Amino acid sequence: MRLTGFRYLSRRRIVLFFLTLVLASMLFSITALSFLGYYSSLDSYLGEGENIIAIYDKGSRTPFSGLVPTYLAEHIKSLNGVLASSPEIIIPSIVKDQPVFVRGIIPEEFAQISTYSLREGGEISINDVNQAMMGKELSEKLNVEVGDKILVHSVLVEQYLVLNVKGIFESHSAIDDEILIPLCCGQWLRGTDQDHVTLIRIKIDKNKVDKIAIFKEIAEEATEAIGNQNGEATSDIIPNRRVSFVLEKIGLDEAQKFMKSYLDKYGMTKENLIILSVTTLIFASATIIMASKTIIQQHECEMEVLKSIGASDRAIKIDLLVKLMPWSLGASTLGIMMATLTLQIFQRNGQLQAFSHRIPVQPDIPTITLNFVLIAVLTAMAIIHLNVEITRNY
Amino acid sequence: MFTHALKMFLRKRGTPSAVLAISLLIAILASMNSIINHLNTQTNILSGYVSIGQQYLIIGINYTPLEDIEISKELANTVEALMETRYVITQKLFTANMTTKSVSHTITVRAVDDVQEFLRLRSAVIKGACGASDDTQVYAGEILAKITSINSGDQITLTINNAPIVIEVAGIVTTQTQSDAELIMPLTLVGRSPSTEGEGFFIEFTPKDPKKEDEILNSLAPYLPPNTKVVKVQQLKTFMQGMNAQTLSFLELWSLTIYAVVFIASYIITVRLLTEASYELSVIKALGAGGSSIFKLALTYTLTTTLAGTIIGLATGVVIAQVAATAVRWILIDVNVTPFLEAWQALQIFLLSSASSIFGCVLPALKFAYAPHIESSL
Repeated sequence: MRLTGFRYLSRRRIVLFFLTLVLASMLFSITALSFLGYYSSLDSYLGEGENIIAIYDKGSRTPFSGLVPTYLAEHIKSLNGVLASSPEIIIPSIVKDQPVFVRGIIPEEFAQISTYSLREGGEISINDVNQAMMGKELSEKLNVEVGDKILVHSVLVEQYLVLNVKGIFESHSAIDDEILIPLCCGQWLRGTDQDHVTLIRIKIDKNKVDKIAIFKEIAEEATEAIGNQNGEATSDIIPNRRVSFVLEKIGLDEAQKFMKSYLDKYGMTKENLIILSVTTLIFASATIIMASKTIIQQHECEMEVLKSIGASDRAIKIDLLVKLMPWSLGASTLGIMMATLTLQIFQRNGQLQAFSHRIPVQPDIPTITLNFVLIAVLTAMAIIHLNVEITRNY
Repeated sequence: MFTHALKMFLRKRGTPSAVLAISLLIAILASMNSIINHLNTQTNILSGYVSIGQQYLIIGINYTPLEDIEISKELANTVEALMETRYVITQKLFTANMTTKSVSHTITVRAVDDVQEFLRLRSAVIKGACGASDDTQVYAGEILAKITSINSGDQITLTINNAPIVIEVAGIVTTQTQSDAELIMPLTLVGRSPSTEGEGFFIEFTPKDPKKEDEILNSLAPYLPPNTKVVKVQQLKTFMQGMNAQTLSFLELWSLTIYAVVFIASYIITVRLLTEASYELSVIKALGAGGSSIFKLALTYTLTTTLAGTIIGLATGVVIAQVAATAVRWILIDVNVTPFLEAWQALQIFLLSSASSIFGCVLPALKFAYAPHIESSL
């Protein structure tokens, strides 16, 4: 018996079921999108692509706390196939009572690896020792304009800098939430000498050089660089002293893999985060099942009539599936949209941050697909389960 | 009759599933809170390993060096009088035009009331005349000297507010601080009045005895001029608080969604109860119970199931988090996660879930209680 023509389900009652599914979908989407956003912001923090290599301190517990010799940047730059070599020092700091990450850079080298466009003011050069460039997101958050003076407090050591904001830039990446300053200023703020930086990022032409060749070069340096010797300086104000270092402490990997290794160390893999999000939905599934039971209970009389005119359990079950499945798909869509919108509003208000960097909210196709599938499966399971109850009731 | 009716409803088939639905939702909240508590504790522990200095600054209220404010010598004296200090240095930071031979540069100048003391505190390595006492002698930072090609003994012309003064560079200093990019000169050369655009004053001091930050701030507060404040130079505590606040901000957003699901779950629980027990409720109404009694009954039932669900959920959440933490420790040996829930957080969850539940059940309960025909109400 075909029940498609029978309009026995009250739309008013379906709305309650629909709202439950919308909220469950929203819960899953908020959890998954924010977790994955958090993951991707850290994962791509130092740049994406296999041609960006990071030289880092293997012994550091965080990507911000290690130290490697500065001169390696200049040394590696001389290799054929190395397009840019950017020594960088990352300093957790406080500006206007807000936690901020400040990055000491050599502007010319940095710009070849991380692209950004200037929105206001001018770019800093290595000699602009009391000047800073601020990311657009951060300047809005701190309400800072070009020409303003900022007081930067270091977190790790007893140091502060008074800087003039020379420019505001935008890159659509994590550095939009950072302050860029000349390398030597970063070293003062970090409390380290000019011979060390947090990491060195290298841009390579993969056809000419690979990370193994670079590592070999560093290994050779480790044996040669005993004691401090002067090399060719990058600029007037950056000394290029060769300092001794222990090879075992130097790590070298693709920038993205380097960040991923930190995340993996703490069990924060993409898969684990999706499993965690799915668990959230599973925990909310009892509410979905309860909503399904309620909607059937509310239509008991109508179903009794259908049964009395010859509709089988199976026919009712199929009809319920046919009639409720579009609602389920609609609920998933609305849930995803509402979750994205909510996260974007929170992000714009600066309430969605990890390590003082805004978490990007991007639609993730596998997560969206998973949302549709899970909500549909939960709806179907609830209906199948309820059908037994109807039979039992009669 | 109320108690009997409530007992009857609580024995309904749908009650356990209602409690389960709420408890699972609360379990998610409890486990997430307990894990985030662990993370925040870890960041606080890690911050304990960093040695914190005792240097303070008196600056403008907008976190900038004081602009258009005259810092009197008296304020520095007040600081010294209020607490035993290792040093108190008044500084004036401004930009000036420096001319060396034929080249002109815009540079940053730091005028301090005691140059020698300032350099000693910065552990400066001086090339040139160490301990110059002449008021017309200044020191150039190493980086500034490189950029502007000045040497020890050079005569330079500093133009401050269109007034040129000729001074001699007594030495080149390396301090590994921002002063390496500045010209350091005695405050007596430029005066204490704000005169040039963009200049700023501030006072730097370090108490002799390390005291609690709050004590220092409270003791100085009554003596500070308007638009000024005292801040610690090394702000690890503020940084950690900011980091934790970012995590909690996300948790709040996420919790809102959970409470919205609790709200809708309570709505469903009430609708389901009222549909399932429509016959019994009709009888109760026939026996003389008014709309308000039915409303109270529905509200009490939903609240009871929510409270039971919340208590079970809180316990389950913490247990799940701890079991998961143990499993993580077995798999990733390095990672030691110890989730826990604070009493105030449990109370907060308890109150917020109760509130969501009450809001969720009010509408269907009211509709049912005051509907003329029970069958058509829901």
